[in-house]
Amino acid sequence: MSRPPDLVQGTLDLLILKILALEPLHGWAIGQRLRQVSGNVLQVSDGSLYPALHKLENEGWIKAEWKSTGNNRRAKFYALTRSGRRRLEEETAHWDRLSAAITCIVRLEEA
Amino acid sequence: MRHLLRRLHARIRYRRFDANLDEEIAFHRAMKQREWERAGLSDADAARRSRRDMGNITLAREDARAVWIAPWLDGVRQDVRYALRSLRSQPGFTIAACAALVLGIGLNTGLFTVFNAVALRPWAVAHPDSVVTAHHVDSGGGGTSGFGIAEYRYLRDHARTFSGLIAWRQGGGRLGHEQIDSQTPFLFVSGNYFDVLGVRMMHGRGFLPDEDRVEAPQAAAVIGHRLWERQFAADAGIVGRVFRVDDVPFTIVGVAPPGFDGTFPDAQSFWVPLASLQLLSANPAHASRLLTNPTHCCSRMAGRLAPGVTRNQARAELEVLSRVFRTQWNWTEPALWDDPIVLSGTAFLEQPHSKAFLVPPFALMFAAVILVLLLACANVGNLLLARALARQREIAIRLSLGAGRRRVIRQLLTEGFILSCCAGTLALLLASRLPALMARGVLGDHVASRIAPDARVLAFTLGVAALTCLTFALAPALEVTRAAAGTLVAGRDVSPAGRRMRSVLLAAQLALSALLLAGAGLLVRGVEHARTQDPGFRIDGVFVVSLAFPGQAYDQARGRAFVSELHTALSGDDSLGAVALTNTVPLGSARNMTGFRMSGEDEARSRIVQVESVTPEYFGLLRLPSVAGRHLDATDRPGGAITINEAMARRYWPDASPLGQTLLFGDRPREIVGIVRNARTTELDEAVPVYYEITAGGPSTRLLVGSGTTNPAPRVRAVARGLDPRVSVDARPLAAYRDRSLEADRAMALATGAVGLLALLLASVGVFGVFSYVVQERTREIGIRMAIGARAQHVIRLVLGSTARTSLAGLACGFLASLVLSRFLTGKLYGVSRFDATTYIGVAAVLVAAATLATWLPARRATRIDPAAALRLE
Repeated sequence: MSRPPDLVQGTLDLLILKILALEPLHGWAIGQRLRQVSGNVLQVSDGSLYPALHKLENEGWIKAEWKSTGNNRRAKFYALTRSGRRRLEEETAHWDRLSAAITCIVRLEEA
Repeated sequence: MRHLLRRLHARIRYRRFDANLDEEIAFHRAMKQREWERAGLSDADAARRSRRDMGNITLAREDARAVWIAPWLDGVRQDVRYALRSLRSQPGFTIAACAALVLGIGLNTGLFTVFNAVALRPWAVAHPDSVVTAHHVDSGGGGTSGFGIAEYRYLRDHARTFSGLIAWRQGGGRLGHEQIDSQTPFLFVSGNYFDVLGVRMMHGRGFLPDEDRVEAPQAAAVIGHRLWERQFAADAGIVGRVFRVDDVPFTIVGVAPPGFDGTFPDAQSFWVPLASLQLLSANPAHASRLLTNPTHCCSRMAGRLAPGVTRNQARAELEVLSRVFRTQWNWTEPALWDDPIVLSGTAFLEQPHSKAFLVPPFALMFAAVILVLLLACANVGNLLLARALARQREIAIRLSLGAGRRRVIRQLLTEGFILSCCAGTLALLLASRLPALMARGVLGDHVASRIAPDARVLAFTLGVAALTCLTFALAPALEVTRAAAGTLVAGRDVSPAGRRMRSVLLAAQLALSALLLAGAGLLVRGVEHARTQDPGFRIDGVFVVSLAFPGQAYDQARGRAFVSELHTALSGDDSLGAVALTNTVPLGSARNMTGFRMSGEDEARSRIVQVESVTPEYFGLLRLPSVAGRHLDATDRPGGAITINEAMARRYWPDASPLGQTLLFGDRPREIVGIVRNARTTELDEAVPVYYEITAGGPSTRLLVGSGTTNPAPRVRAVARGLDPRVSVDARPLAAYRDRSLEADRAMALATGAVGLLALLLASVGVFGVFSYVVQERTREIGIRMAIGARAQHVIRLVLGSTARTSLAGLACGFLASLVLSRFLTGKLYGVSRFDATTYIGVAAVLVAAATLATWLPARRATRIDPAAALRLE
């Protein structure tokens, strides 16, 4: 991702929370889903994904559980918690406000 | 909260956590690999590609981990494990370093335990914070005095800021079975003493109010725990038994708990009511006046503050009440009506004027043990430096790989910290044994019971351990990490900076041990000199005869008569030599003081001076010549003419002759008829102003008998028995008093000497260690030189080389420092010069011998190096 890191980190949290709101997934699947849904525009580097996941788990917004996948392998599945859902709503509202503000400025007519 | 618990859980089960994290990332990589395989790559290629795509896995993993486990904590755990491993791998070094540190820290802890018990601990009573001691401040002299018993009673009855006030006086007496001349200390206390202090009796009870009435004194006593164990064999049926004090029977009503020693700095053996002063005094009428007369002084007073009252409030109230009392009773001096009162805590250090008594001996001993600690630190620092220098390559690699300098220093410091902690723990164990020995030597038997480490000592030890760690570990760590960077390529040679620091540390060790040994040497010489020098009067062949009268049968007049009869009887006896009477024994601990003024001056100019009350034979017996005028002789009477010594003459009449002058003692004029040569009968190291008068007898009159080498006791006893068989007689040589007065100083000199020898041992081991290391590290170089043709003496000169130069410099510094600092010892040197040549030469010889011995072995090993083997060593 070529945007400045701090914007990415905050937005990444929002994206992960939203994806997990739909269904519990493991880390690899989250990265895949993100790519698919955004049409290959948004790709998370593996170096940022896992620290972000662990930070969210530390804060208590997502919880983790080890489950076995189809191929007899174990994977760590993450799911949204109740406080995570609240956080998701806050972050969504914040993003809406932010993006609306940016849009206003970007769409200003040049004199 | 839950999230804190989660973090804690991760920190504790970190291995499981690490495994999970690894598995999670491995799963991710496996999925990525499968995708590449599906895209058409071979297995190996897919694996490689997926790994490359993961980017810096390690960093991601560390970041993820860092969310749960703080990285610095991780680092500390790593450091500790590494330090333990490396310490375990070199047991010789670890033991040597630990031993040196235990010595240094242990000595400090031991001394602090003694100091704590003597000066810092409050009384062993309930809630000691609310107990305060009270003193009157002398508006004139700045000293402090106590309270009269009548005044105490008034204050006790009227003070509302105190929940209770107690008073006590020191007493001394002979217990039933003891020898004459041995005094057991005890206290006369007010009836509410044990109640106010909240002391719970182990057996029996404290005193009842009825037992402390002046009109009807009761012979009741509460004995201390130690006395109960020692003299009464811990008898459980002790209550009701009777024991004799100065031949007066006292009934035991209770036993104090262990740990309670009374309210005086010295441990007290037992307590009796104040009113019983009349039972034990040779003059009961005087005693009862002491207890009731409002103008009499001075007993000690203390009290427990009422809840919520501050010291200031209590003090103000006491001052007001005191003034009311004194104006009411029309005290002799109106100026004294407004004497300020000061309240202080119960620890000895908090008492007014205790510092002058405590500070000199403790300051000296603390200085000595701190020097030993510094020495131990320098020693261990050198050892650590040697080890760190050996690891320079490893450190250089770490630094160049990206470890911060601070991180490497922290790792080196951790080793030092572990050493200090171990040493500190062992030192605490040592401190439970050592202080009792130290205290008995320096302060006598009384205080030894209360010496045990407590929380304050523990905190002190921890502090010392931490400080020592910083001292000995920091400098080498800084040094090595600074030098490490450039030596990676250079091979094994020690950087010049490292070598210099090592020499400096070695020089420091030698300087400190020179300083300690010189100080110890001076003290020991001082005490020996005091014992052997001429104090200005005769000691050999003089015996001090003490008499003990049976309790109530003898009052002052009868006692005086008996002594004078005995004196006359003995003077006629040829086998005994001269016999004189004196009220104070030379070099004993008692002294009598009176006030006088010059004729024509008024009362306010009264000066205090010491008096010796003697008979005319005193001067001949002790060989005190007269330097002007005449001696007192048979024509003089008590209260008549006096003679003074040279010190008094010089102090008060520096220009004129004092002969013929009249001094006023109270209202009585007395003429000075002679000047006597100075005799150091009070202190061995200086002559104090003294005047001599003819004795009027008194309760503590002793006989001095100049009977040469034979003990006069049998003869005197025979004569005394002829006069009255109930009186017991004891004779002791005057030399015993001199030795007893030197005892404390002697103990201190010996203690310092022991400490000095320990310092020497430490320094020698340090020298040995350094030189061995030097030989080992320059083995290759020595081998080359020997192969080219160097001989043994060249090799030795090489090994000793510059290190010897710095060592000599260190010794010189040490001597210089001791020359300068010996100023602080002058009080204890008894006339030995600060620059005493014998001491310094002796110490130099000892140090040179020790250093030679310590370097001999490594040097010999150096000459034995086989060049071929040394060259192959690379």
